[in-house]
Amino acid sequence: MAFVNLKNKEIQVKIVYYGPGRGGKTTNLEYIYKKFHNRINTEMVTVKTHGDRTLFFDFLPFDIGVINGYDVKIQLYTVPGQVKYNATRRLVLRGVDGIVFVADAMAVRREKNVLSLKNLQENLANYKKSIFRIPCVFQYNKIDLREQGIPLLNLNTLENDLNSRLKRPSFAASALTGRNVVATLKKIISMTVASIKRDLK
Amino acid sequence: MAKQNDEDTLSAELENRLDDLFGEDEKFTDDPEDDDVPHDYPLGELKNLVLSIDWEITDEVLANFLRQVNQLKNEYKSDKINLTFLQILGSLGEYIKTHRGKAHPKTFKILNSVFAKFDEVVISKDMQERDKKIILRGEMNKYKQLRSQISSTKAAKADKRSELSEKKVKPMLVERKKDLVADRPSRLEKPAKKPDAVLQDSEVGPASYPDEIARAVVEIKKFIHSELRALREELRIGKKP
Repeated sequence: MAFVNLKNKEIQVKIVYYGPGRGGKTTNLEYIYKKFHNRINTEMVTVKTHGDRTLFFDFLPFDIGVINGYDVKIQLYTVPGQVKYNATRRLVLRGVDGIVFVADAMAVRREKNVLSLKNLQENLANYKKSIFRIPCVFQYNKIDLREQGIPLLNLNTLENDLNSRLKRPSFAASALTGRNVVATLKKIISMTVASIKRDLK
Repeated sequence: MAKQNDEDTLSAELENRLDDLFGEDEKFTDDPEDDDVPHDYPLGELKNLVLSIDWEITDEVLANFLRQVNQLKNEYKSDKINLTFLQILGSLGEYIKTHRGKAHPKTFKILNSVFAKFDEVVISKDMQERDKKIILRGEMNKYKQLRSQISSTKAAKADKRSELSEKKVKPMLVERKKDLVADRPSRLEKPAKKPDAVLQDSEVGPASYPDEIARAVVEIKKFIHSELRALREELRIGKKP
């Protein structure tokens, strides 16, 4: 459940970008930050390893102003995708309101996507949350690699592998070029805020 | 009905606000599935393998990477700049193959950087030769820096190891002398002058000494091999104008 301050009429919405390592979660946040930091007036916090991998998490908070009488503050997080950092992933998921699952569209990553989604389900269950109920958007990232002849999974395969039961909105995207990064963000914010609003009633 | 209206209002208000914040990002309106995909990109397979190494280091990926580099070397044998890029990539690949997860952390960053610049040079058909050389020199410098960092790290490790070995050899000798003394008749028995030294002996654990030596020899051999390989590579690169 989101942090809601009824007295100050403030809502903090926590959205977590989840997915396999090297899938483009940090790149999503970097794109948003680089492109819009003047408008959203914020700083991005990131902790990386020597080899540029996310060690702990990335954090990008911003305010979207008053909606329906509430000051809505969005907090975007990424989790470290590497398998060995599950404790950190679980910690970052605490209090999550919405998920962007960033799947890697490269053909060689097919299994990793599925494993990561299962891992998400398990980690949410740890907080008594169901992947079937939490607002979630799928992003099939690295679609730009097709132009370079790199074998990618087609969208039907990705949908069948990951989204056949959940049936959530999905976007073919390129976090590197920015394709559908904002569309993904807008969708998850809309879905999450609507869900919080329903819960508040 | 009222609930539905309420949700619609919220959603419209939110949409407007998000449009205000994240508008003007409409350059990607086309469906990527419909893109005219150029299939003549010569580095597709190599890029795939570079990304794969970035993900996980397996025998298969590295073997394919080195094979692909050699194949491209053949294709670009008349283009000295591209050939040099490939030689650097090959050398980095060999180093990763030898050291795997223990490779210097910067190696992967430099591999990506060299590939990205190589990619830029290959794709930009109108790029002047002079500009290509400047880009190559930049990557070459990064590669050389990495190599010297690896060498100095290894040298420091080797120094530590030899220090450790010396420390171990001395206590071993002390221990051996002590054993001999113990075997002698009681009249030759004398209390140890420095009981602390004996305590040190047992802490070091002389039993692990041959293993340590063997490990060090293997390490030194690997180090010499990689240095020779790098040196050969550098000489080959240096010969090119």
